[in-house]
Amino acid sequence: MELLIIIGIGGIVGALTRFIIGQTVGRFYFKPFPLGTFWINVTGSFLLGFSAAHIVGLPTTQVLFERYGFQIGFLGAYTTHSTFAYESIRLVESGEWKIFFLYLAGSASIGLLSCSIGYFIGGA
Amino acid sequence: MSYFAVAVGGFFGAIARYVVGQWFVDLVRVTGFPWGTLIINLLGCFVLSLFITVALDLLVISPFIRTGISTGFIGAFTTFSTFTLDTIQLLQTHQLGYAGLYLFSSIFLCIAMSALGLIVARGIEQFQINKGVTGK
Repeated sequence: MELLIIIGIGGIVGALTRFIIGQTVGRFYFKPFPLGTFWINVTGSFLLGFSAAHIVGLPTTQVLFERYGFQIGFLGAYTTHSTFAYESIRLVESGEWKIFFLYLAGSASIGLLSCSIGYFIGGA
Repeated sequence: MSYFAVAVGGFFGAIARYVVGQWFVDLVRVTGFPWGTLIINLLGCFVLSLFITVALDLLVISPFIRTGISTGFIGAFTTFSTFTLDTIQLLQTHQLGYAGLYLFSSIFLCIAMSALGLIVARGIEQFQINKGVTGK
């Protein structure tokens, strides 16, 4: 039960951070490329990679908060797959094929790259 | 008000993701493939595009409840960071086939599920319109 509450609180902060970043980006950036979600998923992947390496060998209580509160709760809710897929399909619908492929390949490759860089730094 | 809705949605979305993920823990352990995250993401992608389209066009619900369910709940239910970390870990353990399969399904199948959500939503709308016409 306490685990679920810790995850839920991380989820609140994660979802709110994503919402605020999305709104802020939407205020200053008007091009069809979904920059907000892209930035969120890339930074979230970096932080999860970092944390996954950082958590190894920590004392149990600290692991509990970092694993359930930060990784599963916060980062899980901060990054999102559903908006990524929805934005992609809307790009197809509006005929923005180039941006569609750029968004898709960019999210996957830069997401994976930043996750491994985070993992590398976190383990150092 | 929409901040509150996103917070409530985020709370339950993150918990729902963990609970659903736990259902697949044994399957993940046996197969070594991240079924939990993939199924959660596939489901969430379908539901989000279905919900957004239906909620904008058909349902009369206040914008903040709509934001709470879409950005809050479904946004927090699905996840991108676990997908990238799982892929990196599959690559690290030299499970190239699984890594490729996971990458492909997370990207392309999720977009296909999102498209399916749109198609179903428009089907529902068309059905409503037809019903309205014949009803008169």
